[in-house]
Amino acid sequence: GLKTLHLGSCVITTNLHGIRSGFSEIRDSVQAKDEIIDIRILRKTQSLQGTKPADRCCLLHHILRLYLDRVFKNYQPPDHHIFRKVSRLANSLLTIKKDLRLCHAHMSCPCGEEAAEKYSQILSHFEELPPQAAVVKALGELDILLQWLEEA
Amino acid sequence: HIAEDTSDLLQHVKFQSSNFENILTWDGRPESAPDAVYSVQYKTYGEGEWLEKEGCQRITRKSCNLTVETGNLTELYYARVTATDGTGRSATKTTDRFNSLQHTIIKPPDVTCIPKVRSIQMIVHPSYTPIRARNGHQLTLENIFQGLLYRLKLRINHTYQMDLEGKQREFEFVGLTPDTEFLGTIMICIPNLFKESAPYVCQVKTLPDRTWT
Amino acid sequence: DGAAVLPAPQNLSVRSVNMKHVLTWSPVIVPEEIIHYSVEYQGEYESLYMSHIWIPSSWCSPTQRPECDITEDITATVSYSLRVRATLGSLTSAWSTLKHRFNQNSTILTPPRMEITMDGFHLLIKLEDLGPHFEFFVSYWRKEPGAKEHVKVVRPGVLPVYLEMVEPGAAYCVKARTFVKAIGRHSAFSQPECVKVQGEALPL
Repeated sequence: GLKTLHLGSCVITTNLHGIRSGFSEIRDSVQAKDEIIDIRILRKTQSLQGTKPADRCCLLHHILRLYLDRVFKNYQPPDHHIFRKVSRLANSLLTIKKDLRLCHAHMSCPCGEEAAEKYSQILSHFEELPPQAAVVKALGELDILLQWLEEA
Repeated sequence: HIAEDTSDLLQHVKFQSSNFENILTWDGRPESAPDAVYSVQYKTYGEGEWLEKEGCQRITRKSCNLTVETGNLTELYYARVTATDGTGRSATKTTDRFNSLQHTIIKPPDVTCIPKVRSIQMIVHPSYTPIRARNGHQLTLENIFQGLLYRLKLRINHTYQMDLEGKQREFEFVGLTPDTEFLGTIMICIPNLFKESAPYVCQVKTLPDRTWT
Repeated sequence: DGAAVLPAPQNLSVRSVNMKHVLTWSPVIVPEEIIHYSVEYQGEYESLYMSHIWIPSSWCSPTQRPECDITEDITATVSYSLRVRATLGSLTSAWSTLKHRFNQNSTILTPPRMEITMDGFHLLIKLEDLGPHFEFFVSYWRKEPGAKEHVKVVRPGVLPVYLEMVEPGAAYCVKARTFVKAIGRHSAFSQPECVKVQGEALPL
């Protein structure tokens, strides 16, 4: 059925299965465009699992905002097929972000120091790359983010 | 200076993984380079250094077992092969990004089908993988995949089927007709990762009912 | 400037049943001419973050029929904008946009069609296959006061599926409903279907 994400006191359900299915259809072709294989944006040291539960919601909220504001928006799909698949991912992650905003409204998505620190590290990994390369790499690393959600 | 085309030396460099046995394979056209030798390197995605795979340096075969080197389930890896022929021509090709959790194919389970008079019992044996826990124990697919379940079908003379599904390893189809042929199929399924093994198939006949003879 | 203007398609609407979504509109009529239509869509993400971007529909860019199967385009549970325009040679109409955005969670879920049969003392059910979105919950019980209702998740397939061993002389009833995970909704239950088992009831 649906996957329940436990993010501290913020608990939401999401169709993670559908999102994974959507990404698996474009994973290899997107990752093949990422030629900088010495750098990784989403690193283990910033994973949701390695973050204390209370800060997980805020960290995820920030990561999703990065994807929605700067990755999907600036990604240049090679064809309509990929474009539709990326649209599916963007809209699916948007529904998760909307649920997290509800948690925020109900004061169950606090932003502590750890979340802020880890997100700034992720952002610096993202920004140290040329813009278009960063967008392609981040999109190719969605399987890492989805694995973090799977384990949440 | 025109770059020499060496693509014939090396093609289709990729991982072939099943039950977490991760084998790097490649092709090369033997006619054009009968004396070609191959060297394998691998690295973790996000790190700078390529590491040489011991035992796969200047080999002539076209495969290399990287199970141990790519055994961390949460890591992502790359491997690359360099082919060199007798004239010194060489080519290097890199795999796609590889993560065994996502890419490994699940082999059919090993099952014992035990026919009785009015039922058929099916016992699924654990599928061991090369992955070891910190304490050295060999992990099974069940240990690795939380969502793993078994899906069983029993086909009854091509007209209907009985379905059973669950995480346990012992199943029994009951209420069957004695002395009758049945076709059973058993699959391993990991729904959240869209993984499904090929079926294990057993053709089995229930025992004759001798109670009233 | 008198240039011929092609009217935009009118009366756009979406008919959605069991997660199959079809956009329809009134055809643009130009005597003895074939009109083509192009359909585009925007998810909530596109309209919020890149509102100038519209995505050509998978199957209807272009099409000659005044309808479009948008099932493969509506792939997330968010609201979608849809628009259509007509073209005739070099002439192109203005875009017509669906008045109310469409969300797949509004799809009509019908009770599943089912066929109840017997094979000896085996109660069987055959369900229509509605596609990968659907799970089927089947309830069945012995038709007598206080009988316990059993529930089983059934996977539709080519062959009927076994439900239970039944007893001679007894009657059994079955009903089913669907569940769509992507939108978290059930259909209503189908009308119960009851069958009587041949033979004498077993002595108590």
